Amino acid sequence: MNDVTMNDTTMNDTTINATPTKDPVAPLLAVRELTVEIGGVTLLDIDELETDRAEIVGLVGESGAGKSLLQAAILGLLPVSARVTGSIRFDGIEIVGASRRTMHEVRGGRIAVVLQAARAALTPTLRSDEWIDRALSLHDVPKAERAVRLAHALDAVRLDPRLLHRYPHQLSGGEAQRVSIALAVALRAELVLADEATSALDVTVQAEVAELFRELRASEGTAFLLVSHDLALVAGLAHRINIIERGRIVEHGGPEILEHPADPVTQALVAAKPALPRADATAA
Amino acid sequence: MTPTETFDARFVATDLEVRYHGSDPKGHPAFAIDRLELQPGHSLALVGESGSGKTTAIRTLLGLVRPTRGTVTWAGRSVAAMRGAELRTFRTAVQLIPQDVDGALDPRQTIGSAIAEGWRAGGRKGLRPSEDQTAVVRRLLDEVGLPASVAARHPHEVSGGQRQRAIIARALAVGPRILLLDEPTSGLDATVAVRILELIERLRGERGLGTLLISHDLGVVSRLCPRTVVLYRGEVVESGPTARLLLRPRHPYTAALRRSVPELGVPFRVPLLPSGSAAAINPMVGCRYGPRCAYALAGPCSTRQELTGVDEAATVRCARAGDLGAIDPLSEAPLLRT
Amino acid sequence: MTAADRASDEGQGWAVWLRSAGRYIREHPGLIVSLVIIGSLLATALLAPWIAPFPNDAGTATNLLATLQPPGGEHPLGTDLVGRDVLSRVLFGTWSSVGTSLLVIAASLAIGVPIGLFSGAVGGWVDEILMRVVDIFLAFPSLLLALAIGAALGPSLEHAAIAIVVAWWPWYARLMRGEAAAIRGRAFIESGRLLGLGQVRLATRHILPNAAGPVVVQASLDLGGVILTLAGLSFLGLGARDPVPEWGLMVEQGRSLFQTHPWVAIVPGAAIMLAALAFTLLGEGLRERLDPKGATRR
Repeated sequence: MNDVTMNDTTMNDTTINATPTKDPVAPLLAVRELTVEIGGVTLLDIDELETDRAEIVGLVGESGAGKSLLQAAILGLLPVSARVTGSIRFDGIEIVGASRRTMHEVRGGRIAVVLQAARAALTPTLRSDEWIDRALSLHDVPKAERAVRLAHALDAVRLDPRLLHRYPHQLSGGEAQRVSIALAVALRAELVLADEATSALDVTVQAEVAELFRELRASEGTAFLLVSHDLALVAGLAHRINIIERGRIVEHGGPEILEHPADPVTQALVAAKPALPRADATAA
Repeated sequence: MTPTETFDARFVATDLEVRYHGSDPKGHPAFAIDRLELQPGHSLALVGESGSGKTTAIRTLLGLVRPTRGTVTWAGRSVAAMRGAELRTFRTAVQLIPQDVDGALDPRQTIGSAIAEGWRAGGRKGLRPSEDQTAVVRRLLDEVGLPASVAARHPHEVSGGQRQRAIIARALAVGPRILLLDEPTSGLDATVAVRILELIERLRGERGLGTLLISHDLGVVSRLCPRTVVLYRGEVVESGPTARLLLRPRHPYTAALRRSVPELGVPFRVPLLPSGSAAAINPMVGCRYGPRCAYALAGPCSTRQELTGVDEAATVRCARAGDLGAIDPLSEAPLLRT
Repeated sequence: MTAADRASDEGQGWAVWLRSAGRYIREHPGLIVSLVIIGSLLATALLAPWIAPFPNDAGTATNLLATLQPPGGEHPLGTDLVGRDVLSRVLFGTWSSVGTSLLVIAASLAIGVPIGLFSGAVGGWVDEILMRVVDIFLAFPSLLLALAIGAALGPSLEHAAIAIVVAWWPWYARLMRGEAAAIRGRAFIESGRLLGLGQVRLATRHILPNAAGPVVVQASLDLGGVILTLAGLSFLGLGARDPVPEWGLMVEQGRSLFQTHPWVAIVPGAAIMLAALAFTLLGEGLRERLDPKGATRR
């Protein structure tokens, strides 16, 4: 276990930029034995958390459980005062202690983020098409290719092209969310961190965006890490679910863990979501 | 124990229409309803998403917004005409638990002081012999499940769930007959939300309150309110017993709402996409939900829809209600996805 | 276990207190320095009659045998043109300069804050009319306005003070009104209205405490400015008259002697600078604590 702090830039760059392993069996994202300590308090203590390629993985926990901190760690955006031990490997690249140049390439270009405050995530002074174009150019996509990628992304997220000419304040929450997702598709991100991406949306819009995640996984091969406090939403989409509480993963597995939850935290989360009345009471 | 009513403590809105200043007079009003009635001891839910007019509805009922047409009355008196002492009586009779819990308390005031202020404003109701203000505050805190130590704290020093309870305590201090709850559980963790709902249920029963619940969360609604009114873009699209609306909705939007609710153990529902005809519907002239509706037909749905009674307990606004009948929200639509 | 834990365990509460006091001083040097200086100034103002070596020199006494003595010996800061002890006059001047400035600010707040609060809390056409009146006052450069009024009333310290109050109160009215109007739109004010609270109670118990921060900051920053303005008016002959030991007047009296007898002007000038600096530091320190978003503008 190497003991590094996030601002350690003396790390040899060549060891980080080694050719990523193309081992099809290895997970896309592998968090192992990760601890994050700030101000003498251990805020994260994760034994293991994985996402395979083209897989939807859920991370469910209540506020303060450590969901946002874990995402910050994956993106290399922890505060400078954080002390990190352990490993976060993305496609073979070690993120803990990675150089700024490496993270610049990984962040956005390979790991995209969709945030809860949909409109706030977009630059207020840029129209949506300008915003996507600017991001593509920052990630060294040649000009000729950008239009093609944008068109493909629009199609994949089913975004009305007329919305591209709007500024963020002219978009609804769901529309802004689609713009963020369109960027992720245009950048060909392999992993999308969806941070309460649908919590602020109307329930019908939430359903549409959730379905969109499912479609993108199938058509683009994108993996998703769904971070949410809504267990039911995650359960309906994810292949694997991790329950996080106080910085630790207390339970993980497929959706079947919700039928027979072993951990009291999971049990409490399940109990908090009573089923709505159904016409056919004998249905499973 | 409900004190005997010496007057008709009914909250009624009739023939209501609210348009905002500067909005297109030919366009849709922000909110319109033929009749809405609320009494102590009864509960009603207003279900809708953003743009449905539910916020306008609450603000109009509270007298914060003047309706363009129609009246809101309390105990037979028009709210818009109330002044002074009469207005204050109305204010203490109808209390709002707002959606924005964090902003609703003065950051420089302790929670105990806020509750005491509410109690004094409401006329010091419910004072027991040999009790003083501090004792009343402590009793109210206990009633909402907060420890007495919270009284000395400021709003930012307690958790979101505790702030929610403190606001409820202050509203109760005023001694209301009717509670308006605007998205009481949004932003709260699921386990915290459950406890808030339990609290509301208990208080409602113990104090005989009437409640109007605004929510987009059908789970919350099904638990607390036997009757529901569904709003879409400012108008009522369906109303009736909550259980029936959830099991056998008659309006496609209600079905879409039901279908969109994530449920444990239920495979994720693909939301219905509009049919080919939906694109042909002009919402300014025909059905407002038309462009998003999976069941829209160019003919019947291109004219203004009226609210019709399904039976004496339920209404629906849909040209196709007759031939669609009750929709099973959890099955596949009869129409194909395009 | 931190050192503080250990210290409190061992019953050494004072060590804990010293440690946190030391840290506070290190983190807020400006605030502490300014409070020390201001404390000294206030003490001086109150104790001048007892600590000044030649108290009568601040009044009508003169000593023509000891005119323009350089600093040293009996007169640590020298004497002026008519032999009055500069140190004594500066000490007494604290009351004239700093004391008067405090009164000026207090009076300006007493007029401006209620007007601004009322205007901001009520809104509507009342607000419009009041603010237009304030705008008219604000259209004049404050110093010129003070000069004009001072000239019209005739020179005296009291008149100079009145002139500055007339020029200053509109700033507080406008600032208070802006803050009050912003607070009025906040959710907890509407909440209060829905509880049945009246306008007056809402304005005084809820809007005022939340809106007061920037006004308090501005007032403390202004103290330095008022001291300078008062000194300026006296310097120009529109304020205090001899023998009042007002610092600005003393600087004027020492102006023509500056080449040969610099201390006569420098000592009161340094006092002005020290006081103005102390209050500015106080204002900056308060701003950090009360108004972190820097809403104060001038």
